[in-house]
Amino acid sequence: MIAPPPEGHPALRASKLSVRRGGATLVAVDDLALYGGEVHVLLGPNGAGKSTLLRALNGLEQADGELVFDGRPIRTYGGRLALRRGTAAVFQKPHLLNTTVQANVESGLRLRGVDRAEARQRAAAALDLLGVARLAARRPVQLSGGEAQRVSIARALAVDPAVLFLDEPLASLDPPTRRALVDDLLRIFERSAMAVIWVTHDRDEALAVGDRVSFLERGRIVQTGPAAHVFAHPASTAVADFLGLDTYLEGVIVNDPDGATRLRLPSGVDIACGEAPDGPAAACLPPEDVVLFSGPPPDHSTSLRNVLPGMVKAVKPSGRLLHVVVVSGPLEIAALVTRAAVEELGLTVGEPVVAAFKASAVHPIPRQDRRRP
Amino acid sequence: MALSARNQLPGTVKSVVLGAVMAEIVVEVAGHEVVSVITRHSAEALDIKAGDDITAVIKATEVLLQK
Repeated sequence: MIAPPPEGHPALRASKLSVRRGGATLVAVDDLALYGGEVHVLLGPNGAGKSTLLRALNGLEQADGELVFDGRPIRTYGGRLALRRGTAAVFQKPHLLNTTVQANVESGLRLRGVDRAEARQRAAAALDLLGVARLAARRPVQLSGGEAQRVSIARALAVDPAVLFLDEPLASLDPPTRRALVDDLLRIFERSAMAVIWVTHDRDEALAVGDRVSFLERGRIVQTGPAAHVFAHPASTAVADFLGLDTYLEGVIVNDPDGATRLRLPSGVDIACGEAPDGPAAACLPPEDVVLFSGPPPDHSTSLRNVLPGMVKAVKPSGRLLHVVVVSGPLEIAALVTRAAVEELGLTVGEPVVAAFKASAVHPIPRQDRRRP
Repeated sequence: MALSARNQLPGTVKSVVLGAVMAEIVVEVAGHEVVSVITRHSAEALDIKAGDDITAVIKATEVLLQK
């Protein structure tokens, strides 16, 4: 089932939007709607046109087609001004002015005509929201990469935008800094009614933050839908190849008192997995981590925590290896094995087989249920 | 019962270190050490202890080579 799009009118809608340069069409999008209270991820390989589309959406790039912001078509200078005033953007690099952090965050407000006292107050609140109030008197050169990006996001949030554009906002940060910022951003978005459009080429990032995902390839959106649906049912081999041939699992993390972590799937099947906090989560299981048995291994003969009996659904070449899809109840599990293994085990479509994998092969990514009623 | 993994190395358990969640098992295979990190649950379910005969299983796709 594909969930219907959110109700109500979109904060920003693009129809027949195209960007052409030197005779080449860089972006051609039939329809893209961004809704308040939702994080919409634009995912795709490098060079797919994600950043160009983002710039076209916020009026920074000359484009043909129609943009409707807050119910009003953007056709005039006044309309473009309303779009620029009602939205804010954050890029991969923080682009801070060489003045104090406080003045940087006030700058967007002052440009929008907010008086000095109110700007000061709103900037302080935004810095506090991003956990960087203590840096207010510093200058950009005195900030770490993570701090500078937090200041840049505070500057964007201070203007209380209806649409927030994020272009690879985590790409310049190291993994621990990235994780901490993702947690804070999701907490902020959860309580906000703004529409967020988030460009990334990182599928784990898309899975962690996206309510909806649009997959972009050569300037065109080839699939749009709830993040879980796009990951579980890629619409084309291009999408599947980019997302990896991994098995996609979604459920709820349950931590036992004895330290074991399980991902409980909607079917009731429990998958032993790597450490994660209790709550909704998704995980990709890399096919190279899955081994196949021709019959069920005797109890307690292997250290593999996950042993799932099933049937071979498909065997297809993947380079020098073979990609074997095993159906086990409602689950489809992909395994990447050698040709010699397939011959020895007699793996042909319809044959019984047991797929098994280590708990540590399953890395759950917490997914907050951010959709508001 | 056959297994798809190409490398099945018979050896002897040299040491077992149990952590809170994971366990580190060192297996001696023909004079070389192979280290395995598995869940503590698995180590206990298999009752792995030093001196046990055991098989270390490694998928062909997981073996790195260095010249």
